[in-house]
Amino acid sequence: MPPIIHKSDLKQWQNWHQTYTQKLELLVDVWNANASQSTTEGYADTTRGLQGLIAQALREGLELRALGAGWSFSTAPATSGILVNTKPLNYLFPAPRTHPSYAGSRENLLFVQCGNSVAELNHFLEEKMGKALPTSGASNGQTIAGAIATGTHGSSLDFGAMQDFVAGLHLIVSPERHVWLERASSPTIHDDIPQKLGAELIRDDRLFNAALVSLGSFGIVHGVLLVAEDRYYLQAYRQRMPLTDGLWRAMDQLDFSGVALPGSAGQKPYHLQFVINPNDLAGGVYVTVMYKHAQRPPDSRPPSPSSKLTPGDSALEIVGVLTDVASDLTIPVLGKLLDRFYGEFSDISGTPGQMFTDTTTRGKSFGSAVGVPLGQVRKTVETALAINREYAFPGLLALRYVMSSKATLAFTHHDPMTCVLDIDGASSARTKTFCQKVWQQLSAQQVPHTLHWGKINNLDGARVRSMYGPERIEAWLKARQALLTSPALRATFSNDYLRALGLA
Amino acid sequence: MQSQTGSWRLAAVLCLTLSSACAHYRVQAPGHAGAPATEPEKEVLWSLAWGLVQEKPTVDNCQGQALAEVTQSTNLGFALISVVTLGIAMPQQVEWRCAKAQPSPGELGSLTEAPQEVR
Repeated sequence: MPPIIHKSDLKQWQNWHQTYTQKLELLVDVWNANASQSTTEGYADTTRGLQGLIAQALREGLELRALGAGWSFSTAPATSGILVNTKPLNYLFPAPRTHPSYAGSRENLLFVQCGNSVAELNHFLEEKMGKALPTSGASNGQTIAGAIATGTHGSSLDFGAMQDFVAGLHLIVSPERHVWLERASSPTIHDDIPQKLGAELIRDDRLFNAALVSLGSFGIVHGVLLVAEDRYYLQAYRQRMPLTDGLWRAMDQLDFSGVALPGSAGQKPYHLQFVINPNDLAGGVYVTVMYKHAQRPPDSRPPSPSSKLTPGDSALEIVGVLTDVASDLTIPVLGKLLDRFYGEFSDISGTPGQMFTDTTTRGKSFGSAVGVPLGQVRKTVETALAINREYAFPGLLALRYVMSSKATLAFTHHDPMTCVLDIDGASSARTKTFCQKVWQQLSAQQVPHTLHWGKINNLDGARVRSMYGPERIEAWLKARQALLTSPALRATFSNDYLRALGLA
Repeated sequence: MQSQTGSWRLAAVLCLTLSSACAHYRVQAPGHAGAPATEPEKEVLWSLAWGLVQEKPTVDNCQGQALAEVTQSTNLGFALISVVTLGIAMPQQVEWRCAKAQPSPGELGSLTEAPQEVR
């Protein structure tokens, strides 16, 4: 049965964090015809329905964009043409049959439809499969397709960003063609399955790596094959620590020799985050550390379900909660609220889904994130602090760390690890100007850096090329041309954001 | 003529000011039930004659699923109308998002049709 395509009367759309409003021609919700049972037939029918929408966009000369949860601060998901709401598409297919050469466990695989939120996946994996995602962002309302398309990252010292647990993509690239894409170097799915879906099977590392962080412009990502791992528990501690040379070394190079991390007892941290209030350095840095265990540590407390902030929350969630409490977030107010809501704790443990929850805060906040390689972290933070001394802003700095991603345009591609400096604050002209000053200074000081695609970045083509280098850009553009074979298709899956980046 | 133009400008500024300041009351289902499947749809509803006549929103976009959240909003303009009409006419804005379905998992590649949902 064909999917239900509901045409909304809305002629404009606003993103979750209310950073912009976009006029559009048409917003449609797409629902599986039988929403209560995941079936291969239903999935294939929805594929045809989505192809029909692409055909309509081509016929009417409109752009088309698949919409997830709309959590991006940037205009990556925006279009003036047809916005296809994919959130209702949440079929789940655990343990699909694998390729004979696949060395991993079939039980760790989960094929999901694009509209599943990360929170839904955490729930299903942990409760129904006894598994867990290797990493996730600090809050999990994003859809899986939206999260990987913009390179959303977590803060695991042993893993990369979210796109790095993806083993296969089902991409709809035209009214007549849809493809199952995976790496030639690690075939995962049994050949029969793409065939049963009517998809063309392409095994190509170059194409796959480019299509992971696609900014929504490689077609419609209809399905994602995830590689999970056995369910694990994170034991968390948070302590406010003085900004000593030892702590600087830990932040800059992950050298923990000069600092006693809370709760460590010789264990290697799995998750690490530093939150800095740039207007209260004397009070120290909030250090959150989590250690990974196969079982819940005995006597450890679970996270409080009534707490406004969870142990995994980052600067953005903190600012979201604080702007819910006080919409006019001034520097003194922020300091007071931070002390009240973002306190120290020790020995709290839970599954990843319990530690990184689906935040529901919606205060108007502003988020940006700079990726820098290890060894450049202190210089980057000191640059931001110096600017703050001259031009103080009501917000927070947070540092998180991930391993280098294989995705062609991952902003977390710095080798061997990327430190992500989040600059999050109340949505104001002052916060925006502060961020611009930081970006300008980093460029002027020739600090190698990248900017998160899904956060505010004000990037243009020249800066994108200088950040990623011509080789990566050309590889990405070439892969896009190989999948979207005509200029009309490439125009359909373009938007103002892509054109501004010089990637259309 | 100038005074008429001025009055229009004043009225326009007043309207914008009155309609932009809003108070919201949001009710959201807890946990996964509160995860929205749709973008917010909204309607302005009128309660007339002290509640004797009440408009109901036309929710036609949820495809049999529940509501994930409902937000009721009012603003200074709505409050003024209620006061000036002594409560005879009381407008308010209602906004809703539909909840997601919670499908059972399936077997990828299996072409055996599952039983159709009974609604």
